[in-house]
Amino acid sequence: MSKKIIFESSEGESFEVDEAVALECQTIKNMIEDDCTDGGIPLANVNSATLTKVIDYCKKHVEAAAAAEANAGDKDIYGANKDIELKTWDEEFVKVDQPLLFDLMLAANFLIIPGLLDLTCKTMMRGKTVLQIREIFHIKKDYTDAEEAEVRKENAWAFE
Amino acid sequence: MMISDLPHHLLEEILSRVPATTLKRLQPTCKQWNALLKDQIFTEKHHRKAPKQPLLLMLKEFRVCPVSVEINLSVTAPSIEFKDPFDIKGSPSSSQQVNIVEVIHCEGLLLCITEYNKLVVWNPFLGETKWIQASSHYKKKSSFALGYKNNKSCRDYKILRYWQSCKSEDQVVEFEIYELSSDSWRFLDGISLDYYIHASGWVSLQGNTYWVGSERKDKDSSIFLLSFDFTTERFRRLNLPPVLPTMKLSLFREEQISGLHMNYFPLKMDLWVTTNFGTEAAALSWSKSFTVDLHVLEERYPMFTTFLLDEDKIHKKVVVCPGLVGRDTKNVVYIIGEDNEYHTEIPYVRSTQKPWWPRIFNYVPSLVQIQQ
Repeated sequence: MSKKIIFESSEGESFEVDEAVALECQTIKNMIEDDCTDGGIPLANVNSATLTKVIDYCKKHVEAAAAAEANAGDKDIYGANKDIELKTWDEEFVKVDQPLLFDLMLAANFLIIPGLLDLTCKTMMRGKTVLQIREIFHIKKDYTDAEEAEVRKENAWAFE
Repeated sequence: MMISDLPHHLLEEILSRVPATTLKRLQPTCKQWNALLKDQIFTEKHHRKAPKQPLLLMLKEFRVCPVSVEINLSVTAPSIEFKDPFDIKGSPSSSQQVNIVEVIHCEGLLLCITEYNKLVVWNPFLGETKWIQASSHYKKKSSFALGYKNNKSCRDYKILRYWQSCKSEDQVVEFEIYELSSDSWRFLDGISLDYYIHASGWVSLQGNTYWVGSERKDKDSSIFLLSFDFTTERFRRLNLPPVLPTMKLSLFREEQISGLHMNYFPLKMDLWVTTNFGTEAAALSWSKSFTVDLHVLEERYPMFTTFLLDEDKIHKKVVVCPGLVGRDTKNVVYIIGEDNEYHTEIPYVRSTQKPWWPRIFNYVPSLVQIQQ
């Protein structure tokens, strides 16, 4: 049986995961290598809802990598990491509300999960208008209307 | 925690992962974002991290036009829409339309050779241009390549001008380098090239340029891939698929090189792709993507200037752009599917009688600024 790692969320809830899954997080990988994971890893800034999602993500990517390796014989020019199915899964995975997406991004940054960080960052901004972004992220408009019109004109690009 | 409370470095981390086109639209969010997007350290980071979203561009009637391809096989055959050309800021001396006769793409920047052999480096996404004074040694029928020296922190763009005698037995080759950072030309000394650079096709990948080359002395020798490394400023010889007399090159998914080989007896074209570009392997390995029977086009001797190969797990297709036919340009673009599953001929309207060489290529919008 594979070794288990215990995570503890900010609410004090415990999550048991396979070591292989935990290794997806660079931060945890370093801790495992330094042998300081006994007695669980407290994640004081990751809540249970976010942690559940993070573990889902890592599990799926570990499984996908294992499946790709098993099929390496008939690998084509796309390579294993360009699996369309996994991409579709990722797209579904980030269909969550903005606060959770933001928390996922922070967790990916803290735990160092490059794939999840890329995914959450680009999803967070996609299809949003300037007004929506200001509202979602509480960013104060520091332009006058005339200044803003000028910046908008400079950055007009019709081909998104 | 909200985004406005984030430490600056984390905001940079987030925005550097957002595609350029989305980011540009969000530039007016606040002064901090606007300033960040113009910061060179950030734009380099963004170049390394953000997902690349290639657009299809076409050099059409001396102007660069975005082209949108709609492929939905379940409904209809593919369609292409030609959009209005990008505006290029005129040369300092004139306000007339700039006529572009050749365009070379390298990671977000275009090098355009205009009528009367003027050069301009252009980032159409940012609307920035830099007009370049020709060198005093400029020779007619020079060719150009755009690339960059790969520093850790930034890319130093350079232009290579080369001129070769068109008689293949002549040894006369001349190379000159222009650096955008120093705004000056210099001869590239110490290089004698026994190869002939085929002008018909080239590709720029990871800052270096690749052509098809052949031995000058031995006309019957097979062709090979010739690369110019813009960092070391040296040429290198690499392999092509075996026993091919000619080949055209194109970029495949911004990470591999694809090749098109035309065969007239029987009439067909073979499409090849490298599988290990960018790895440590000593030799490039090529795999055949698919073959097209060209009888479907009802042209006796079709000739293509440029092509783009695209594939996913199920479908493979190629977009090809015919060149001059006689003295005339054939005003179509073809999309052809694997197994001749479909082929679509997309005509476009032309408004000038001057012959031109159409060229179709992928372009990745980039925030990279031109060193002025």
